[in-house]
Amino acid sequence: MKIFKIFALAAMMFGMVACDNEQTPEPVIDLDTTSAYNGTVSVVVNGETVSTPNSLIEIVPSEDGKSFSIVFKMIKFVPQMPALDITIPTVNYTIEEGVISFVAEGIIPICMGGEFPQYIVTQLKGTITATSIDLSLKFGEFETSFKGSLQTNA
Amino acid sequence: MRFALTIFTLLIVAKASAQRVDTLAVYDVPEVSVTAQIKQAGLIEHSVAKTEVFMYDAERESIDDMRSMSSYAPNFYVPDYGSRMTSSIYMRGMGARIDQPAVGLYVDDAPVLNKNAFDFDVFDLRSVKLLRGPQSTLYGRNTMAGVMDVHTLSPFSYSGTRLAAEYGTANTVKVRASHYALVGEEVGVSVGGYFRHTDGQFTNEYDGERLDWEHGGGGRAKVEWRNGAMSLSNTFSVDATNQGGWPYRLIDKASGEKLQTNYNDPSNYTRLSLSDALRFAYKGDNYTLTSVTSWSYLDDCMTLDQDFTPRSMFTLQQAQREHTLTEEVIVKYDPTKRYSARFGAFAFYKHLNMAAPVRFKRDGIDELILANANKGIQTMFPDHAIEIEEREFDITSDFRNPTWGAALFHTSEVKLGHWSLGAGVRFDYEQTTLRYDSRATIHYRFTMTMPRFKQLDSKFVGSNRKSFFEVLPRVAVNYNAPKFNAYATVSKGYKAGGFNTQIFSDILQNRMMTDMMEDLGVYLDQTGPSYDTAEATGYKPEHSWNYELGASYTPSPKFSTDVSLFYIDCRDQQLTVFPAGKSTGRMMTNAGRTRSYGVEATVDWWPVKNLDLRAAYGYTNARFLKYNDGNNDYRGRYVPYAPQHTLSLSGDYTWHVNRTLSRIRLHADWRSVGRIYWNEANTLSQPFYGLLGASVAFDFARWTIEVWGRNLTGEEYDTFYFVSVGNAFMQSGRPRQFGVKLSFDF
Repeated sequence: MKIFKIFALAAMMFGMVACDNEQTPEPVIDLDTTSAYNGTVSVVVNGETVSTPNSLIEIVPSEDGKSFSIVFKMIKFVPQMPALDITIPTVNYTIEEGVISFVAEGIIPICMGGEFPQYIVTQLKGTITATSIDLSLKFGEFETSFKGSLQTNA
Repeated sequence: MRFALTIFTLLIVAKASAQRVDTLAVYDVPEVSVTAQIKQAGLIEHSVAKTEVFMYDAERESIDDMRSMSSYAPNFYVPDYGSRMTSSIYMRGMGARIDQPAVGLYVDDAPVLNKNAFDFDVFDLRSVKLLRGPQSTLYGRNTMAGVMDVHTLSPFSYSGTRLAAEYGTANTVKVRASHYALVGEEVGVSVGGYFRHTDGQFTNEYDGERLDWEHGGGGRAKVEWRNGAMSLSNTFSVDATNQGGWPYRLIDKASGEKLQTNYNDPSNYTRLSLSDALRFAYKGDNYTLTSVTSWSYLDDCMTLDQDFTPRSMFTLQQAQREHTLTEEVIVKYDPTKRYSARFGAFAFYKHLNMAAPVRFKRDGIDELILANANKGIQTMFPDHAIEIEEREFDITSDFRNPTWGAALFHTSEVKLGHWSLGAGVRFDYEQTTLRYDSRATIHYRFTMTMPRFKQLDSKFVGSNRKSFFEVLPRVAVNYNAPKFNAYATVSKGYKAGGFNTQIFSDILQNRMMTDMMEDLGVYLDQTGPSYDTAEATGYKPEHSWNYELGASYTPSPKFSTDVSLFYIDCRDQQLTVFPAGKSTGRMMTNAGRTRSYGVEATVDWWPVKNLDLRAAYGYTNARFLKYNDGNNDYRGRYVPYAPQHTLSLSGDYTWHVNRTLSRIRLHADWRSVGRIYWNEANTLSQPFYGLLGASVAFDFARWTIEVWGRNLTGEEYDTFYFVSVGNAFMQSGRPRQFGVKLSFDF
C-alpha cells in the first residue's frame, strides 16, 4: 500500500515547538490508517435541526491513497429509525498548507449491505486538519453536518 | 374421587386378621449393607424423617422405580411427564426440573450423580429408604432435600430363581428373570435381566401414532464374597431404553382450552447406562472400614420437536456421553459404648461431552429470527426485508464439562442414657468447567440493497469455570426409648451450581441477529434478551438451613406412627425460568430466597388379623421471600411445581385359603397430591387430585397371579406445564390402566 503523509503543518509546528522540550509535538494528519472523529452531528428534519453529540465518523483511506471514505457511525435521521452506519465511498481531496479539503456531488452511499440511492450524497464539502474535521452534505433530502475532533488512530 | 373413597373405605373395613407375611425368606438377614448401616446408624437412624419400604411392600405397592414412590412418602413428589430423562423430584418444596437434583440417589451404596439416569427399573428390590430433609453432611452434593437409598436383593439373602411376566393396557409387557445362588459358603452370585415394552397411551393427532411408546431392557450381575470380618462385592448393571414421549398439549390462547397433542417432528429418547460398584468392608475390634468404588457411563440422545406444534419451527437433538468415577471410604470408630465416631472421605470425577444442535426450520426462521430482525428495519423501509436463503440451518452447540470434587466428613455421637447428642460436619469442594463452542452459518440479504445472499458466521466460544467450597454441619439431639423416639436437628443442605447449557441456542440466536445487524450497519434499540455473556450461562449453588423436630411412637407391634415438623430457610434457590419473549431456551436462575415449612405424618396400623392399613400425609408451604426476575416481583408467591399436600392411603387384606391356594390378597391405595402451582405468578395450578389403585393377588405355593388397576376412577389431571416460544403447554396424567401379572419363585 502506498503510504503518504502530510507533514507541512507538522513541520511548521515542529519549528515553533522545537525550543520547548516539555511540549508534545503537534500531531500530523495520518491518512495511512483509519482516523476516528468524535463530535456533533446535526440533521435538519422537517425544518428543525436535530443535534446528536458524541457521534462518530471515520475517515478510511483507500488502498491507493488517492481518496478516502467517510463512515458515519450509528447515524439517525429521524428518532423512530434504527441507527445506521452510512459510508460515503471514494471522496477525492486536495491538500493545501496541511489542510485537507474535499468537495463531492452525487455519490451513492453504502448502507445496509449495499448501495443506497435514497440517501444519495450531494453538496458534500469539508476540511480536515491535524486535529479536527468539519463537513456538511445532504443525504437525500436530509441536510447533515458534522463537527468533531480527532479521537484515535485505529 | 367419591368412587375412589368408597372403594377404599370398603377395603379398610373388611374383615381382617394377621400381620404381613413375606412370600420370600429374605428377612432373616437384617443387614442391608455395611456402608449404608454405617452412614445411617446413630445420628441418621434416630434423628431423621424417613420412609422405608422392604421387598414385600415394594412389590405390593408396585414400587419398582423412583416415580412409583411418589407421594407414598410424605412430601415426596416425582411427576410422570416427558420421558425417562426428565426425572424431576420435589421434596418439602424443593426440587429441580433440569440439571442438579435436590434429592440424591444411591443404588447398592453407589451414588447416581446424573439425574438423567435416575428413572430406571429396579427389579428384585430389597429395600428403599427415603431420608427426608438435608443429608449433605454425610451424602454431600445435591442431597439438600433428601436421599433415596436403594438396595437390591443379595444372594446371601435369597437363593433361587424368580420369574415374572406382566401384560397391561396399551400392550404393555414386562418380563424379568433372575437367579440367586451361593457357591460354597463364602461366595454368592446373582444374575438377572428384564425387558419392557409399551405401545403408549397418548396419541399424536398429527399422524395418529402413539407418542409414549417404549421398549427397553437391562440386567444386573452381582458377586459377593464374605469371609469372617471381611466382605467384598461387585455389582454390574446395565439399562437400555428407547422411547417416545412428551405428549404435550398446547393451551389455546383465546379459550384456555387444552388442545390435543399435535406436532410434526419426530421425538424420541434413547439411553444406555452402565454402572459398576465395588464394595469392600472390614470389621475390626472397635472399628469398621468400608470402601465403595463406582464407575458409571451414560450415553443418551434426546430428539425433540421443540415447538410442539404442527409447524416446522425448530428441533433439538441433545446427545450426551458421561463417565463418572467415585470413591468413598468411611471408618466407624466405637472405642466405648457411649461414644462413636465416623470419619469419611469422598471424591468424584465426571466428564460430560454434549452435542446439542438446534435445527431451525422455515417457520422458525421466519418467526423467531426474521420477524424480530425485520421489525425494526421495516419501521423505516416498509417495502423491504431481510431474507435468509436456507430452508433450515443448525445452531450447533458442543460442550465439554469436566467436574471433580472431594470431601472430608466427620460425625461424633455421645450417648447418655436415653439421650444422645450428635454433631457432624462436612468440608466439600467442587470445581466444574464448561468449554462451549456454539456456531451457526447462514446466508442472508437485505432486499433493498443486496442483490445476492451473503454468508454470515456467528459463534459463541469460550469457557467458564466455577468452584464451590462448602461447610455442611449437622447437629442432633435424640431421645430414644423402647417405644418412643424424639429428635431435634439443625442441618445445612447444599446443591451445587452449574451451567445453563439449554440457553446456548438462545444466546447464539441473539448473537446471530446482532452480527447480522452489525454487518448491515443497523443498530436496533433492543434486540432481545441481554444474557449474551459467559457469566449468564452459569448459576450459583443453592443452600438451605433445615430445622426439624420429629417423633415416632410404636406402642405395640400392631401400631406405629411418626411425625415431623420442618422449617427450611433456602437461599439462592435454583429455579427454571423461561426467558421473556419468543425465546427457545430455558435457564436455571437463583431465585433469591424462599422459606418452606410443613408437617409430615405416617401411620401404620394392623387393627385386626390380616388387615394392614397405612396412611402418609405431607404438607408443605413453600413461598418466595425474595424473588425478582427483572420483570416481576414474586415475593409471597408459592414456589412452583412443588405440591402443597401429598396423601397416601393404602389397605391390604389377606385371606389364608388352603394348601393349594395359600392366600388371596386384596390391595387398594389412593395416592394424591396438590395443589401444584405451575408458574411463579401462581396464576395456573393443578388442584388436589387422587389416583385410586387396586389389585387382587392369588398366591399358590410357587407362583402368584395378580390383577391390578391404576387410576381406576379415570381421574383427569395435569403433571407438567411449560412455555416455549410464547406458547403454553400442559401434559396430562396417565389415564386408567389395567394389567395382569404372573410371577414364579422357586
